Amino acid sequence: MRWRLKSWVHKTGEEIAPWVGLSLGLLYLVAVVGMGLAAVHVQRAELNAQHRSGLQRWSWWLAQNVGRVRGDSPQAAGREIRRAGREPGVAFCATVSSAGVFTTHSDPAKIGKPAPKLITDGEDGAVQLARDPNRQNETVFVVRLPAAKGETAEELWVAAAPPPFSWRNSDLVFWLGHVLLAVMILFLIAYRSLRRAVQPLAVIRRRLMGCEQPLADRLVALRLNDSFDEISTSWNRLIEFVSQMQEELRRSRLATDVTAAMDGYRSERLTGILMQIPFGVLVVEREGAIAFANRAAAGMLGSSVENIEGVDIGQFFEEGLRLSLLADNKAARSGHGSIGRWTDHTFRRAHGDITLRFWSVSGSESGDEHILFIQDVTQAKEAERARDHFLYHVTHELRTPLTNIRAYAETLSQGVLDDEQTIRECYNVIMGETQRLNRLVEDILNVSQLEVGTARLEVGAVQLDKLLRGVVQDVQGSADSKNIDLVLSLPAKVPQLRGDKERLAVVLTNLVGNAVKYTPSGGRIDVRCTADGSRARITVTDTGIGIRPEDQEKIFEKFFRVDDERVSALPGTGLGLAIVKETVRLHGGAVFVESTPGKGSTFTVVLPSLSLEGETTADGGQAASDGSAAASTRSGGN
Amino acid sequence: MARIMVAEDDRHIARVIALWLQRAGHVVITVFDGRSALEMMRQDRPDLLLTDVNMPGMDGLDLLETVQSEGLLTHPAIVLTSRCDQMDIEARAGRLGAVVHPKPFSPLHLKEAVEAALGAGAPVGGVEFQTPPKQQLTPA
Repeated sequence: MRWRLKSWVHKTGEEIAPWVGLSLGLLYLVAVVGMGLAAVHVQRAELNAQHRSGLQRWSWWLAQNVGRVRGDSPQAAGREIRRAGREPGVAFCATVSSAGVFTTHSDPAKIGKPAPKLITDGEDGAVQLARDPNRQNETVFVVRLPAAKGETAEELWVAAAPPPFSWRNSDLVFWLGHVLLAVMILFLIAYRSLRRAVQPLAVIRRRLMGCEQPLADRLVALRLNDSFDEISTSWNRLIEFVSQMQEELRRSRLATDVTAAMDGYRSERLTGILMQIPFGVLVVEREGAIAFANRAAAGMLGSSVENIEGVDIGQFFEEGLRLSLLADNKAARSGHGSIGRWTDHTFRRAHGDITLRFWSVSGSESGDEHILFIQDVTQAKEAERARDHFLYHVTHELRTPLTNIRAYAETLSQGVLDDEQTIRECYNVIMGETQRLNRLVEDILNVSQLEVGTARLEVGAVQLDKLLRGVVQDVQGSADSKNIDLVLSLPAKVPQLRGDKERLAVVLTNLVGNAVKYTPSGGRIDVRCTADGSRARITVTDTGIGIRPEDQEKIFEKFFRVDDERVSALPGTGLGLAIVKETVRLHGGAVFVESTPGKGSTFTVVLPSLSLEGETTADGGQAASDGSAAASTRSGGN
Repeated sequence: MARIMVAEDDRHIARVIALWLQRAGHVVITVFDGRSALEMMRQDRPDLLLTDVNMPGMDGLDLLETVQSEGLLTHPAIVLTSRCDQMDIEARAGRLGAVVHPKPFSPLHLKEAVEAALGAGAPVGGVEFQTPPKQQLTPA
């Protein structure tokens, strides 16, 4: 009971405004009371009519009675009148003489007094209806008294007072009370059901009013928590549906946004990649205007991305090339965009010629657009030229010892020689040329190993003095033949190295050999070795033809030979110094050249050295073990 | 017997050629560069010129051009080469009426080629000169 009341109050207060309920209640009350009063009024009027009708008949009967007795006993008649005057619903009762004077009266004070003049209202049989003008609400029934002979004509007046009405006695109050109660109950029931019907609407209204923009995000807040009835359920279902739709829309919009963003990102990224690739991409419209050029293409054409767009291609290509690219394009289009064919073209540039390779494909079915792929093949061409140059020299260099070997071997095999001296000479030449060929092949092998980075050092202790002596000894013969003074100067303490003995021997042989090769007869070559802290420094100084300053860097490049007839006349592959540089670099050292053309050159090799103290015996042992290892390798090889 | 000028910078090759030609009964004058060959030929005209292409100072083809223009040749010259651009050399030597022998060569075939050249008349300069068949000269 308590929670019901509370819930009623609460819900009423919450869902419907109190004044609405109150007004409705009052309205009902007024209506019910009004209706009750109307019923009372009707009942009273009915009562009045019945009373008058009864009184009328009773008046006639009284007149008959009074008329009959008055002759016999005027006192009895007077008593009768007085008694009648006391009857309920009767104001007064009297007899009036024809002279207009009360002869008897229920009020004795009025006897003998003149009767008022009545206004006649009508007549009903023997009873006349009249009214005293001074007492409007009293109907006076006037009946002529029957008169015997000799009796005076008199009238009986019976004045009707309003009929008595008692609330207490009436069951109207009882009925009215029941009706009122029933109506109140009905009202409450109606109100409650109305409230129940209106409540969801009120909540919806309140929630809607409370909802500010954006409504879309708070749609769920509009849900009714308690499902009161069908309206709430339907409303919740509607909200559910709308939020579902909203969510779907949001998701689909998000998906669209994401797709659009992804597309944008992808296209931006692809353009970025296209811009970055080192391969030139050029889109040319039919009229020849450049629609797109990536950075590489713009750079290759000597322009920039910002300036190249919209520029006519004729500004960069001469007519012949332009036509050939367009012709290629037609062929490519018929061949379904195959880009197998290319056109190479060399452009003259301030900083040197560049060679570009063009592939032309059709950018569209209609052929309105040409896409040119451009590759800078300058370096490739350069490498090609270097390779050709190398092969040219290598084959030349290989053929010379081969020619000797073949010629001398054939000479010996033909048996055309008979003197012992010449025959030995032939054998010596064959041997010498075989060694030359071997050296050459080793050089080529070394270079190819160094070039592809597969060169491996057989690291061990290297006794530099021994190594230098061996190298000088090997070259001594050729120095002597050119009458060159070859001088080796070693310090008291020769630094020890860790390195590949064989490869270091090649390095030093190349340097000293070059010195002998490019020093004219009667010159001098000094080979010195010094210890410089933790480094060993070997210098080879000659009085040879020297090297021009512009060539001093290049002589260490593979296949490079100085363009000088004094050089080209001498055998060489252009590999020696490249081998020197790479080998020294692998040992963690460096090689430099100082030279004055016509006076001579000094090559300096700096190599990291080991400390000298206490390592001599160990080195000796190691050298011996190196030797045995080499021997075992050789025997294993055999 | 003929007097043959051999211009070859590789001494071993010059030596073996001289050996063979001398044994065939010819007189061989050996020089090691093009310029010396030209000077010698101007002083004393040999019957035949046998030259290498790559030589210091003046190369064999330049030498050939010069001696041809000076009318110092009585027989088609023989050119030896180890160079890769043999076709170019053959074309150029062909225009000068010379026969090209690639290195490595057979001394025997070279000797036969020398004799064939000596057997032929004076070289006809110009492009219309017919190069003698090569297969006969190339090593087996």
